[in-house]
Amino acid sequence: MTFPLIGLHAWLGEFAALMFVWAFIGLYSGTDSNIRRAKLAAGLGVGFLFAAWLAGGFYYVEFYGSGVKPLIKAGPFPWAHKVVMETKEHVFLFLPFLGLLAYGLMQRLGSQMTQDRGARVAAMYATGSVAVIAAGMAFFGFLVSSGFRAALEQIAL
Amino acid sequence: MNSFSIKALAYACHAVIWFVVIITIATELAEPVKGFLTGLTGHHWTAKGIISLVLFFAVAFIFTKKEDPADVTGLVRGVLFSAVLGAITIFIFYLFEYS
Repeated sequence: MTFPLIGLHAWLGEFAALMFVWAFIGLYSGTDSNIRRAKLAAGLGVGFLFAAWLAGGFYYVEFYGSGVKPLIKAGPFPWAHKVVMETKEHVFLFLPFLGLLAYGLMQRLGSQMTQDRGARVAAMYATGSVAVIAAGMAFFGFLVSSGFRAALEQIAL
Repeated sequence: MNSFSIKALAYACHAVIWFVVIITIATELAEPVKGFLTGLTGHHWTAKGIISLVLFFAVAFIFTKKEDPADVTGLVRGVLFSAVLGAITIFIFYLFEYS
């Protein structure tokens, strides 16, 4: 039952990235209605990030360490755990807080973002960075999965 | 989130990012640190997450009355710089550990 959990983690993380891309585009257009939707998207994105943290964290603590990590370390790509996963599990911890900054900033600036381009640019930096880092986490997740698959292939073949 | 100033949220992000960087390196280099964190919650990574959450809201609460500048772009850029530098520091540390 570990695969649905890691699938859920990936799905939530990718949807979080998508929400922040949506917020970024809404901010770029700058109209009142788009900014309202951007704020909603950022709020949903924060929710998805925290949910991804819970799903991925539970999987990592309960299943990854005992069932996956030893296989990757003994497989052909041990760096998939020793470098990639170790980096991913710690850099991921930045994301929910960067999301909170983006959401809090947009709530605080409110309608100022429709008239003040500088305020909008600040919010675009915040939302864009969450989207980019979340996409980076997805890529790191792919590398870890590849390391695991390679280890399983080594055992099976 | 509306009750926190943007400056408070930015300071809280800096605090969390550098806490994560320092504690990550410390747990790898000093076994007692890892043991202490594991003793708190059963897993050192869980402890890092919970402490980060508490630290974020504590710092945001402490600085919540700080007035925001007219242009907050610099505050956000600063946090992004911290995040990128922190991520690179962690990546290079594990790369050296591996090699």
